[in-house]
Amino acid sequence: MTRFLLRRIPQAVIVLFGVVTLAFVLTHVVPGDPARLIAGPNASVDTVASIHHQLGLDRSIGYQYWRYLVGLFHGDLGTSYALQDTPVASAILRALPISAALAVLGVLWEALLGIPVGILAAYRPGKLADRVTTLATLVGLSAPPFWVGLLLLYVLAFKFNLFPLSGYAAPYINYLILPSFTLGLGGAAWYARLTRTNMLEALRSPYVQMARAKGMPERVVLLRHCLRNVLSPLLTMLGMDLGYFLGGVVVIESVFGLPGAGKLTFDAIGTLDVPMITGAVLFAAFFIVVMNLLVDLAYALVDPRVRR
Amino acid sequence: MTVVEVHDLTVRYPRRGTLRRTQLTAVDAVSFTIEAGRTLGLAGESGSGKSSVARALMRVHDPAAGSVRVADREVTTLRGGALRKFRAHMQMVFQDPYDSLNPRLTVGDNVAEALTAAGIPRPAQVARTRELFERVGLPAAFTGRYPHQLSGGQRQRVSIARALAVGPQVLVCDEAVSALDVSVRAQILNLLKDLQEADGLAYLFISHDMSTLRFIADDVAIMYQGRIVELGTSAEVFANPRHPYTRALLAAIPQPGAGRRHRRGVVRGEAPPADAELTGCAFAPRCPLATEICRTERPPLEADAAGHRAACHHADQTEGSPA
Amino acid sequence: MTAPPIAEAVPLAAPTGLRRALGSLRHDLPALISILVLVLLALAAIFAPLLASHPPLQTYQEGLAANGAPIGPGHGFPLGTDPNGRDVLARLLYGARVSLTIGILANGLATVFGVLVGLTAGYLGGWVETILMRLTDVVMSFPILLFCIALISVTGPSERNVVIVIALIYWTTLARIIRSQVLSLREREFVVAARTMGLSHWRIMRKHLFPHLVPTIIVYATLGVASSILIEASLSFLGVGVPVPTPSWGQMIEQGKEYFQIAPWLLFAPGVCLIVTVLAFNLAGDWLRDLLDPTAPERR
Repeated sequence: MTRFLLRRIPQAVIVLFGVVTLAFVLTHVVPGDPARLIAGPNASVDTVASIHHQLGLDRSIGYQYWRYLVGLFHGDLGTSYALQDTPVASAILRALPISAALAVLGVLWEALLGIPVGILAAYRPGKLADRVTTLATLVGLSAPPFWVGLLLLYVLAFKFNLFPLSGYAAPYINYLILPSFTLGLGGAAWYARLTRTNMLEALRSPYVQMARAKGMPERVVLLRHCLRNVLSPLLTMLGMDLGYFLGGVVVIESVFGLPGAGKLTFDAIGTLDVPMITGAVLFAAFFIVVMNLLVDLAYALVDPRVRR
Repeated sequence: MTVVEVHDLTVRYPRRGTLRRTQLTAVDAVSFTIEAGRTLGLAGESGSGKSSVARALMRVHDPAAGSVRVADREVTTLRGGALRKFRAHMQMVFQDPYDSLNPRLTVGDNVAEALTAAGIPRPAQVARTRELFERVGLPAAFTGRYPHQLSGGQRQRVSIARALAVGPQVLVCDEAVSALDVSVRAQILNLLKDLQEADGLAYLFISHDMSTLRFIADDVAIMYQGRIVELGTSAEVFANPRHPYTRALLAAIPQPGAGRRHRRGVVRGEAPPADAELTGCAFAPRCPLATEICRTERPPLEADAAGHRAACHHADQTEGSPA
Repeated sequence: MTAPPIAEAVPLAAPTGLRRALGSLRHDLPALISILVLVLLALAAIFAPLLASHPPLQTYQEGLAANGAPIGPGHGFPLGTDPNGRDVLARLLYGARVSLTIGILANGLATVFGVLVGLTAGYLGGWVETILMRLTDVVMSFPILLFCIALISVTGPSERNVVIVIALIYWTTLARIIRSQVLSLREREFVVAARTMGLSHWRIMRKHLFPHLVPTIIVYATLGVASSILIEASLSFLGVGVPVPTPSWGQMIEQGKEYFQIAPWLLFAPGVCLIVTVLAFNLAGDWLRDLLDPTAPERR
């Protein structure tokens, strides 16, 4: 196990380092001058130059990169250009709980909707329930989430007044149900498909046929013998989704007006707030890499073959 | 004339460890030579390292140590373009006639690929391909067919045509007839013999089947656990096997008319894993003649008066005689 | 010489012809419909100028109600008008051009990247493979949409940039799949034979590896168009995609969302177009997978 960690953790660190470098290069070596944006269209050349100096943009790119890495090492992601004097890290940390709540609920929807539907479809393949759910999952996979969100808002919030239209206030859960449902819908469709495929495969396997031959009730075969084998790969995928959502889901947060990490990033992009953009991308990537690691770790704990 | 000279060839495969990279030695300091116009048969059970020898010779897998000289050129140090050019000297016929031809190309184009590699211009390739087909006993009209339209034996003929296309001096046949029906097998073996007589080709013929080797090989080398344990002329090895492992292999050949009296599967037990740390003779754990010295000291490959070599402390003793 | 084969090995890929494809379509209604939908979409996009009753960028005084609100379907505008008084149907038709072109171009480019990376990494191995696959890991660890938004916002929204950014982010899955296929192909005897013949790396990759990857590539290229169109729509919805006033379905939804309480058709029309298009590509991709490459793993 230690060996596994010794191999896997450095790998994750290398990937993260690559992410930092790529994110830095892409956000710094680009046309567009944040100083000009901060100073406003009427500012003099001198003003722009002094802002340049203030932000450290007059130094070489290599030097800026080095400073950024040093700061990163101390947990400092720099200071926002747009929100004066606000450290990037604290701004993101403030927005994070909303994104986290959204992410957790979204993953719950994925699992709670997707897996049962998949089992239902696999129960009698080719029959009506299977055909209907197969088509439904395809539609779910093909629908753009922002559109689904707006549709839900139109029907459930506007027409029937069941949910608030947008924003985030107490009781918070009311403001999270629709967004998280929208977020989870696409994933649920995906998991339903996967569950169905894996269930059908498991049903054909020799150990299931054995269980049937012994006269076990179909329900027991399905739930006890198949599901267990179907579930573990799904759990790892759910873990990765969680990592992916934690970084902030821009589209959903923007449709529902949730002030999470995604919204923060989106606003930062509008103002060319480079430190904020880089910081947000890093945060998001960090969650993805860490969840990947945890998922691998969980796998290794359960399945010694993975440890190699 | 000696065409192939292999000296202390060693092949290792890396095994992914967590921190420490371990290696598996598949071929351990193997030496042999092959003369022009002659066939060296290489025998041994699966996992003995026969195919690794072929792969190292062909430079499909780079050897870890040792030297391979073909037509007086050192092969193991060739790189890039020089290696590609050298490949014309030595070609290979593969085991699986269903996998060794590109299914997306016609069999004619499969052969033409080799001509391309040899630098023969496209217009000349068609005629040359037809010639090659005729040489291996296939109608020239077959060039336009796809591999799946041919039988196993026909495909193996295409493989041979492809190997001959670049005009090699050495042909490595790795279990080239093992996948074929017995009747087809004899035809292919005869074809190989005819080609050898006509062109003076040197063959390294790898097979686990002793009766095939008895038919085709001039010399025979027996491999066990990555080492050659016996090496001699075909006549000598088959008539007068010196190593107990060779005797066991020969005893396993079904004899016509021998019926049930014949004891099969004389080699008892299984070969130890190839990575096991072994001192002494690798065959000792399965050997009926093994004594203390076999477990502690590795027997050298030593020749008798006739030049017939064996690596055994008890060479020439037979089972039942006092050890 | 004419001895029967001993054991028929499964051919690498069964010969696939147009006839077989059409034959399988007859038994697969969803696939048939999706192909028809795609053909109709392509025709609609190509002949948009002929089909639209109004130019897509023209704003009409009579297209807005007295209070400045968009007007509903009818009244000379078959699908109503947008908040600027433009004809929705015309914008939908021209939007099909944008969505299809961007989706296909972006995904085509991504496919080229993915195949190049996967093929070289898998075939050459060694440090080349290590570097390429680590790069793939890094790109895969990026939050895709966030990263696209960031990239486009700094490079400036334009159709070209949207195509490039989607391509830069979307090659990774295919690269991994191609690599793993090449890893197993590389050990096949005919590929080893090609090496021992002395063919160049380039020729081996082109003639002996690539043709066997084509079924996989076709399947994932088709499914990938669906994803690319969705990403383009999301970017345009967020205002960092296709710049105004060029119509794109995502952007039309964005412009309609402020008015959806009084003018829901502004949401429905482009949304339905998007779903139908993406669904059609997904169904066609599934059908191609069953036809060409039944062993291919599913892709999100």
